[in-house]
Amino acid sequence: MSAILYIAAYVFPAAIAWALLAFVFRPLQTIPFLLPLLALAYALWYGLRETLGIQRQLLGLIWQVPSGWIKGRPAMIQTLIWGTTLGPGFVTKNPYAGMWLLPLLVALNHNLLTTIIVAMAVGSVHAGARAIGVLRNRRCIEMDVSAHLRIMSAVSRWQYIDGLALLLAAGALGAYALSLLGAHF
Amino acid sequence: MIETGVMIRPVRVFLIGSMLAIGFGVAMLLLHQSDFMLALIIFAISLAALIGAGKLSSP
Repeated sequence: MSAILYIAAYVFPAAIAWALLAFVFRPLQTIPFLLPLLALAYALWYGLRETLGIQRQLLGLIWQVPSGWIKGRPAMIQTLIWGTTLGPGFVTKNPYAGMWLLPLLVALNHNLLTTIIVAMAVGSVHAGARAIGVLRNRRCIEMDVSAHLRIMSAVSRWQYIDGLALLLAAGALGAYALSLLGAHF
Repeated sequence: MIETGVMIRPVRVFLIGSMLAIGFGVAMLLLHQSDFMLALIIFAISLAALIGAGKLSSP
């Protein structure tokens, strides 16, 4: 199967799933200050924990695609199942706290159309990057059997970077929250 | 060597303070110019790419 088809199998379901998420967050957008303060608190808390290396708990479901869904099916169907379940990023394991800041950031836009478009963009990019990562890791493991150990050890490095990104967001959200409360810069 | 250096506690604490300050400062500038939401969208998309690329491969 070509890489393009593989990536598409991840991207299209993710774009749809994230667009639907925009509607889920719609009621929360009507509550003043809720989403900015929630996003600020989340980004600060998990940014500190990931940067200090004390975030051990996976922030997501430990559900995995049942083997019965995959076994015996054609390669295209298997890819569609993987893409639909893993592309959006909502289910299965998630090692990075930044994942759950994304819906909050998306929902900060008050215009529904903008929220949907941004949500689809975020979902598509996440899914595309995930698919490319899978393809790249497979190639590494094919060339070097012990590559999976390096892949596993890279998680802590990515967590650290994710933590720094969350802190950057926390600083920005702090300024945004102050501006909403009437502070002028 | 750089990778070992950023992992030690004083460097982590310094980076924590720096990231918070940079985020706050940049946001202040963007809010002043009414570009904050656009920058937030770009940041969210970039973070999504980072997270997607960083997740472990599936079987």
